[in-house]
Amino acid sequence: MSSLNIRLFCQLFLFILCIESKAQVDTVVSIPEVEVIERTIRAFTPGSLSHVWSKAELRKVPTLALPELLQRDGVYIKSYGLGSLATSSIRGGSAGHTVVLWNGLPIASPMLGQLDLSLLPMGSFSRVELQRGGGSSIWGSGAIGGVIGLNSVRTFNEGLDVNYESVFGDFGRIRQNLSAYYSGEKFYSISAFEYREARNDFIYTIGDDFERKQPNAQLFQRLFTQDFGLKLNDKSALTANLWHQNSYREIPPTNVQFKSEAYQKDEATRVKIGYDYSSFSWKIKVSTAYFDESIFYADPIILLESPSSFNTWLFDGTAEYKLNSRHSFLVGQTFIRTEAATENYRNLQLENRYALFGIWEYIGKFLNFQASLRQELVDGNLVVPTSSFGVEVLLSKELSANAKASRNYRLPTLNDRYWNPGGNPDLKAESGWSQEVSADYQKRVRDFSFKASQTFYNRNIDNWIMWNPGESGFWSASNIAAVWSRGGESRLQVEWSKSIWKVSLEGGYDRILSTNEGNLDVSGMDVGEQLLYTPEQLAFIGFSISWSGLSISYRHSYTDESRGVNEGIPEFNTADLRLEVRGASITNSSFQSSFFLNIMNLYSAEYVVIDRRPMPGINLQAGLRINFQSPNHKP
Amino acid sequence: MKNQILLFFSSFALMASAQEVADFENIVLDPESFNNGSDFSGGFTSGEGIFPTEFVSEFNWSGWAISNTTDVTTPGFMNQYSAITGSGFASTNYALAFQNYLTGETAVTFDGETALNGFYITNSTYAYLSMLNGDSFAKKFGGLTGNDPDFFLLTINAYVDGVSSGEPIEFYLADFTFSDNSQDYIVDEWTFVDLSGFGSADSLTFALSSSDVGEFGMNTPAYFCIDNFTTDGPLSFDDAQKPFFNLFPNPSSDWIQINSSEVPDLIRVFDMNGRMVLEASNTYRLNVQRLEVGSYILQVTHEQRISSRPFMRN
Repeated sequence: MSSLNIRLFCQLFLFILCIESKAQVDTVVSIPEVEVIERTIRAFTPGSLSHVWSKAELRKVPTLALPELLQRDGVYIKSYGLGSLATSSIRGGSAGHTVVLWNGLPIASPMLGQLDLSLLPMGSFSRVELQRGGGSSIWGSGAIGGVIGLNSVRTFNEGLDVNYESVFGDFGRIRQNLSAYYSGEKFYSISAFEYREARNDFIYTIGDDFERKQPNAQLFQRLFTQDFGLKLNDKSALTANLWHQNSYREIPPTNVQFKSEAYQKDEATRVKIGYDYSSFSWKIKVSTAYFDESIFYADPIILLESPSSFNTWLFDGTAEYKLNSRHSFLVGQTFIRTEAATENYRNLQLENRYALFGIWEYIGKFLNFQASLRQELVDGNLVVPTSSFGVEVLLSKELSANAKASRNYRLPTLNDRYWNPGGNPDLKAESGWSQEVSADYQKRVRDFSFKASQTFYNRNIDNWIMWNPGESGFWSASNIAAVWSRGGESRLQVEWSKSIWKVSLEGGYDRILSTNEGNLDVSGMDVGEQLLYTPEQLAFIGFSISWSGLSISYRHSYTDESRGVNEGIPEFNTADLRLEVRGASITNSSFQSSFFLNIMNLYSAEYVVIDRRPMPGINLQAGLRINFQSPNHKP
Repeated sequence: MKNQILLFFSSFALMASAQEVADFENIVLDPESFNNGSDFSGGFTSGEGIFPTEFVSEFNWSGWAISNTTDVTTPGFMNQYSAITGSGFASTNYALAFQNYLTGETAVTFDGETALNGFYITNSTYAYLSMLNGDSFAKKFGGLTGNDPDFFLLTINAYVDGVSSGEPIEFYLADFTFSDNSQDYIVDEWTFVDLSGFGSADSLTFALSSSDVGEFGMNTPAYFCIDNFTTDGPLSFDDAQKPFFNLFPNPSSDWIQINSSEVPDLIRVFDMNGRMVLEASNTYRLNVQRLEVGSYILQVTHEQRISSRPFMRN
């Protein structure tokens, strides 16, 4: 859709909604969107900085994919361009240092050790969690920089909820999402279908005045999810989750490449079945899952076709016992069996991982703490044992202090071990300690609420796995680096609300030093030098004002300069402006509609995150959401 | 370091004018094929030149390959053994060099000081098409505007006993540094490089450099092709300067047997970086078990005569 069409689209819906809002705004009754989330000690880690987007908040933040959501909390996203590969870097870690969980199970590719976040549309998740800092003793390999949780959180007896969302944007971006949720006394079902397509053919400038329209950048994606819940009795329930998606994505050329015809097809099917039991003293969770995924990368120009696939069986079980109002204990085990195949492995590769872990939690009047321990075996070989200890001290009603220390690890990926050429089956796991301290302050005075937090962290990782030329001059994987990461994270939020008015201001500043400390004879890895693609400073400030059904928000982000493989990445500023109008189109109080308009990169900054991979200038997204709810319990 | 690789070549006083051409036609190849040293022979000999190769696996080799592949249209690594001319210089076979990442050089040695004439050079198809269009790693030369002052340069040094034979000779395999873009070029024909300015040498080194360099080195594919490497013969080339020994087995994983009429006074082994890695005296047999797998040059000294041969430790 061209910019002109988008503007017409926006004007049309603004006109409609304004009229209807004027006529009916007084009759709108908001349905409270309160989530009742059963708390488990595995999901709660004292001493960690975390952010949770609830179902209600996710609907207020229309995003096309997960990276845009995470960026709102200051996560640095390494994006290869609009619609292209995107990975996260939390606290100076690499993409493989963030664990992504789907309903509590890790879904990163065991071959790559990471997940392309750009292929994770948000329409099918009802709760997203981001926890910064190490969590390997609870979540296993890779939980060094942080943990991202994608959840289909549903409860019984909520009623009917049908949601349709349609988003159009510049560069041919279209997203259609339809979800239908029914929750009865003993049964719930939610079906969600999402379709995305994009040309991503934005224009960028090379040199002073040479303009190029991005070629070979199309994306098509289909996603279907289905969740079931069956209440067996007051204490136990069965759940089942299905996630199937396929995507076709073209790989655009760099800004110094004449053309590209490369493309990639991804297909993933994930199935999970779970059993939950909950009584006053016991919470038992057992789940098993099967993932079947494939990637087909092809570059017809160089006659390259590279298919790869893997399937994974997972079993995860925890038993939590509440001894009394203060002490709770959890023991759990996880088994993961992976089969992976690619022409670059000499054989079909199998990997069996088994982990046993335990958690002790104490909840006091002024002090909460949690200690955990984990031991994992990989193909029968013990991995370094890991542990963590987090404590939260309630200094006053408004102020709390937190501290956490943890030992974390990341296992080498199957590609690190078996890729031919260069894979090294003898690689050791990366491991090391991380520590963090933080203070949280929250206060509410009349119509004002004030939140502030400050975190400092430190992390040392040994046996950092790198692909490097080595002594022979040929690229191979080895445990050669030691990386020291340290820094701070500041967050501030001030909110004023009165009657139908709400004004909020938020800001954040991250200082990230992540340096190589190993004495390497590798270009680009001098001692004390900041890692590639790791800016030392990130900052954002946001402002929003809402009045009745109208809200306007502005967000400005700053990213410091960093080193790229080929050239330095200059610092850049981006800004987004968002307008949302909510109204009701019919007199039924459970029927709501909203229209939003996002103006991305408002000042049309020219920037790259990865060198030679340009990002788009100013661009628009416009969307319409229609929601029908019929709750079983009227407010 | 490179100078040391030449220690095992003796110097000579005068030159005879028997011209020798390394045209690589003596290497037997099937049609559309190549030999990248996968037989672990350690390299090739053609004319008077020794063209060493370090081969570990199909994905892990450097040095010289002999090829007759003719694909001038397929970009990328899968077509790494082709010359952009589609053939040798008026012949079938040609030599292709792939520069070692760490040493940043490719070498040619002679069995004694040799008068140099010159050779023909062109780009490999892989490097040529990469510079012409760019690829996912390397840039299109000139950039999309055509204005970037890019270059792909081959620097040739000559040595006698490790001592430089003069100023290096530079040859641009691609040059986009002209202010007039119409003069920019990427070599796509066999072009003669005159080495006579060096006079004579017992070894040459070839070092590629590019304007397209990243944190991990040069992005431009580090390949070039040569053919008809012509020398004007060794100086005072007589029997005294011919290799006076043979060695076997080659390749070897444990022992090398020196086949010589007399017991060598001194045996030295040099790696491809010119470092002496093994030394023995007054013996016909040399234990090479402690050497890393790779290519080496074995130098034998006997009664002030010095001679050398390549071998492979496997």
